[in-house]
Amino acid sequence: MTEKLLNRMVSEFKTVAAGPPSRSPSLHAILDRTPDSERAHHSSRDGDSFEGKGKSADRNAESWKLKHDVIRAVNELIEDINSCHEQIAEQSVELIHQNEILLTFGRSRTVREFLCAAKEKRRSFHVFVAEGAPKYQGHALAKDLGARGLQTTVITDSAVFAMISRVNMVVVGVHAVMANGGVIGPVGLNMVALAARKHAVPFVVVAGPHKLCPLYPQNPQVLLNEMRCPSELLQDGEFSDCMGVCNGSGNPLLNVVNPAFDYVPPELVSLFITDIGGYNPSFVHRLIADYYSADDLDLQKRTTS
Amino acid sequence: MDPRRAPRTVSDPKVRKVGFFTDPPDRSLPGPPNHPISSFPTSPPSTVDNSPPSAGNSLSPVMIPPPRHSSSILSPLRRDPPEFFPLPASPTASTTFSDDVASTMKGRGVAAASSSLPGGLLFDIAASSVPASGLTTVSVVNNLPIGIFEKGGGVAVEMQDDQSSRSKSLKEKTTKAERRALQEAQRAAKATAKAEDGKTPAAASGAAASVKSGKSVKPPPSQKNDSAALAALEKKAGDRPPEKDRKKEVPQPRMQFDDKSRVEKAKRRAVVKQTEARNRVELFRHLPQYERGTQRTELQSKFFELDPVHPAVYKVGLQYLYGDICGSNARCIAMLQAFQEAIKDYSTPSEKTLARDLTAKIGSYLSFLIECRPLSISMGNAIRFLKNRIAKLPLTLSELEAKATLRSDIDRFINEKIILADKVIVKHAVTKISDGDVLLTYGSPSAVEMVLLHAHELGKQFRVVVVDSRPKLEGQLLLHRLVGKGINCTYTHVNAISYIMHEVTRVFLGASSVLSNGTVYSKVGTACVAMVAHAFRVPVLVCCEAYKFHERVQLDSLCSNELGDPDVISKIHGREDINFLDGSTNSENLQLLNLIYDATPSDYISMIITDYGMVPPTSVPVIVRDYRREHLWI
Repeated sequence: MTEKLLNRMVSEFKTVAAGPPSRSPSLHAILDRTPDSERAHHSSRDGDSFEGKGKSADRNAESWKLKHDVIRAVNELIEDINSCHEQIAEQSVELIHQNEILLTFGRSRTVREFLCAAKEKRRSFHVFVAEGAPKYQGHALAKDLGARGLQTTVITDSAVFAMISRVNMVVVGVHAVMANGGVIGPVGLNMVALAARKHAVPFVVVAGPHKLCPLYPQNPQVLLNEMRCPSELLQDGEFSDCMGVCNGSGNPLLNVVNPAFDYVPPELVSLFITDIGGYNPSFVHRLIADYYSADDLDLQKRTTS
Repeated sequence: MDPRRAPRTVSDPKVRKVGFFTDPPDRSLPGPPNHPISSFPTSPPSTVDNSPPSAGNSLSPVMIPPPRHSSSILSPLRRDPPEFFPLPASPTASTTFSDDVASTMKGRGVAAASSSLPGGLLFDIAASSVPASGLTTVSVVNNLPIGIFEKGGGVAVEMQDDQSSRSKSLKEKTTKAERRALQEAQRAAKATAKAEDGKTPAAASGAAASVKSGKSVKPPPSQKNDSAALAALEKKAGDRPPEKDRKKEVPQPRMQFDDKSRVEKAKRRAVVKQTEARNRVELFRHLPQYERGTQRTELQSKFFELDPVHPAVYKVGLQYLYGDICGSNARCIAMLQAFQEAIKDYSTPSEKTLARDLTAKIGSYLSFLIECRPLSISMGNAIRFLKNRIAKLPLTLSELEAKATLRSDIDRFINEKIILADKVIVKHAVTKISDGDVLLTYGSPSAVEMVLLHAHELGKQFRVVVVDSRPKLEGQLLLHRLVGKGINCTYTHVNAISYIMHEVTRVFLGASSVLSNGTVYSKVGTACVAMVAHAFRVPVLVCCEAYKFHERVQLDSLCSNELGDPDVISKIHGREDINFLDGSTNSENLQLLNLIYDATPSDYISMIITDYGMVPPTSVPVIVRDYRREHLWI
C-alpha cells in the first residue's frame, strides 16, 4: 500500500516541480535533480550574478520550497482520499433503485457511504453482507449499516452462491485496481465475482483514485498476495497433535493456507465507480496516465544520469 | 477422350415442405428415384410407412413414438403370479445393484404390480384407516396385488394397449357407490395426513399427493353395471401403475410456512410448542425458524408428557436438536435404528391391526423428529420405504413374525442401501484417483472420506486439500482423521478456493441428495466450490448413494432449504476478539441468516458416483423413475 501511496505522490510532484521543460516530470527526475538543482538552477538563470554567497542561500531556499510544496501536496492527497467517498456516493442514486437487493463483501468505507447516500435519497433496499472470513469485517459493516437504518442481513461466505440468485447488484470495495482493470480485493472476492457472472448480476467496484495502481498483474494470486497467520483458521490447541507430524521425507503433513488477497480478472468486473465517474475495466489504463508518469513504475529503479 | 458423362438429373428446385407433415397414405411405396432435394422430405416418411405400418402411419418423420417399455416389461411378469411375493425377500446381501439385470427386471415387475397401491405412502394409510367393513372397493384395491394375478393373462393382455386412452375410459366405469367410498376413505385419510403434512415439509413428497391426486382421479362421471365395473376396476387398478404413478410422482409442494392458516393448523397439532424466531429474513418466510433456546427447554420439560414417543426416538430427536448427529447417512441410520427399537417394544392394541396402528405410531414419531429438526431427503426416502414395508406385510403373519420381518427389513435397508452402497462407491471412486493427484474436498462428507482412506490404503500417492467453512467448521473433523491416517493435507477456508484451485486435479464432493433435474443438494458452500472448480476446468465428482435421489426438482437454493440457528453466525469459535455483532441480534434492521443447504446446478458436476455406477447428472431421473420400484423396494 505504501508503494501505491508513494506512486500517488508523483502526481503531485508534477505540478510542484518547476522542472525545466526538457526533462519530463517524474519523481526520479526530481530526486536526481535535487543534488544538482543548484547547478541546473544556476544554468537556467543565465546572467544571474549571485554566485558565491547566493549559492548556499539559493540552495536552502529551494530545498525549503520543495519541502513545503511536498507537504502541501501530501495534505492535498489526504484530503482527496477523505473526500472521494462523497463524490462516489453521489453516483449511488443512479445505480440503486427501489426494492433492490444488494450484496457486498467484507468491509469498505466507500461502500458504506455509497449505500447510505442511496438510503438518504429514500430508496428502500436490502443489503446482504458476506462476513469475509477470516477477518470477519463484514460483521462490523453490517452493524454500521444496521445502525444507520438500512435493512441488513449477515450471511456466511459459503452462502454467497445460494443467495446470489436473488441479488440485483454486487457492490464491493477493493484494495487496489490494477492497470488492466482487474482488482485486488479481500480473499473470497473472486468467488463472489464468478457467482455474479454466472447469474448475470452486475459486479460494481467502488474505488477512489488512490487505489489505482499502474502495474499489470502477472500471476497475481501468488505475487500480489500475502499469507496470514494460520491460527486464524485453526486453533493450535485442537491441532497440536497434528501440527508436528511429518511424513517420511520430513515434510509436515498439515499445511494451512490463509491468503489475504484475491485477484478478480477484468472480465468479471462490470463497472468501476470512481470520483470522476463510472468506467469500464478496459478504460482504467487511460486513467493511469493522468496520475502516474511512465518513469515511475519501478520504484527501485535508479536513473543513470 | 472421355466419353461424355451422362447428364446429371437436374435438381429441380422443388419447394421443400418445412415442419411436421404427415405423409398421405397413398405414397407408401418408395417409387422411382426421387430428386435429391425433394427426396429428402419424402423418403423418410416412406420408410416410416413401410416399417411399422400399424403404428406409424400418422407420424411425421421427426416424431418418434415414445417407447412402450413400461408395458412391455410389465406384461411378461404379470404371467408369473406365484413368483411375485417371495421376490422382495429373495435378494440376498450379495446381490449388488450394478449387476443382475434379471433381478431388476423382476423387481420392477413386482413393484409395478404392487404399485397398484399408488404412491405407496398415504394411500396405504387411506386404505388402512378406513374401517374395512362395508367398503368393497377399498378392500378390492387393497388386495389387488393378489387379485390381479388371479386374473392372470386377461389383464396382462390389457396392459399392452395404449395406457392413456384406456385409463381414461376405465375411470368412467366405476360406480357412484365406489367413488363415494373412495372419497370417504380419502377424506378420513386427509385428517391424519394433515398432521403429517404440516410437519413434513421435506419428506411429504409423495404423501399428500397420493391423497389429493387420488381424489382427482377417482371421481369419474359415468356409471356402468356392476360386473363390468368390477372387472374394469381391476383393469383400471392394473394399469394404474405406470400411468397414475407417473402422476402421483409429482411431489406435492411442501408446506410453505408463510401461509398463515396452515401454520396455525399445524401449530395446534404440534407436540411441542415452539415460538417462531422474531427476527426473520423476508426471503425465507416460507421456511420454519424457531427460537432455539426455548426449543430445547420445551422438549426437555415435555419428556414425561410425551407418552407416545419411544425413548429411543426421543434420544435421537435430542441428538438432532443439539447437532450431535450430522450428515444425512448418520441421521438416517440413527433414525432407522431408533425405529427398530420402537418396533421391538411395540405391541398391537386390541381391535387394531398391526399395519395401521404401527403406521400411525411411526407417523407420530416422525412428527416429533421433525420438530427437533426438519427431515433430510434421505430420511424421507427411508420413511417411505418403511411405511411401504409395513403396508405390504402379509396379513397372515403373527405379531411377532411381523415385527421380526420389519426389523430385518430395516437391517437390510441399512446394509444394502447405505453400507454396501458406500463400498461400491468407494470401489468405483478409487479408480479415479491416480498417483500425484491433488484432491479437494469440502466439509466432511462420509462417502468421500471413505474413498480417500481406501485410496491411501491401496498405496496411492496423493494430497488432499480440505476446504472448510463457517459456522460448523466440519472440515476440521475430517482433517483430524486424515492426518491421523498419514495423508498429506492442506487446510483452507472456502474464501481461498480461488487461490488453491490452480493446483487441484480433482474435486470430490458429497451430497445430501441429488434431485431429478441433476441439481445436487448439499451443504452450503458446495455450490461455490463446484463453480470455482468449473471455472478452473477441474473435474467435479459427487459421491452419493442412490437412496438419496429424489424426484423433486429445484432451481435455486431458496425454494427449499433449512434455516439453522442464526446466533452461531455472530459467535466465532476460537476468535473471541471478534465480537462486532454481540448484542445486535435483536436490532430491527439487522438479521443473521444461517443457511444449511444449497443447490449446485448440474452443469458444474462432471460425474455422480453411486452404487449404480458412475453416471452423469442427467441419469438421476432415470434412476429415480425407472429403478425406483426396485431400489427403494416400494
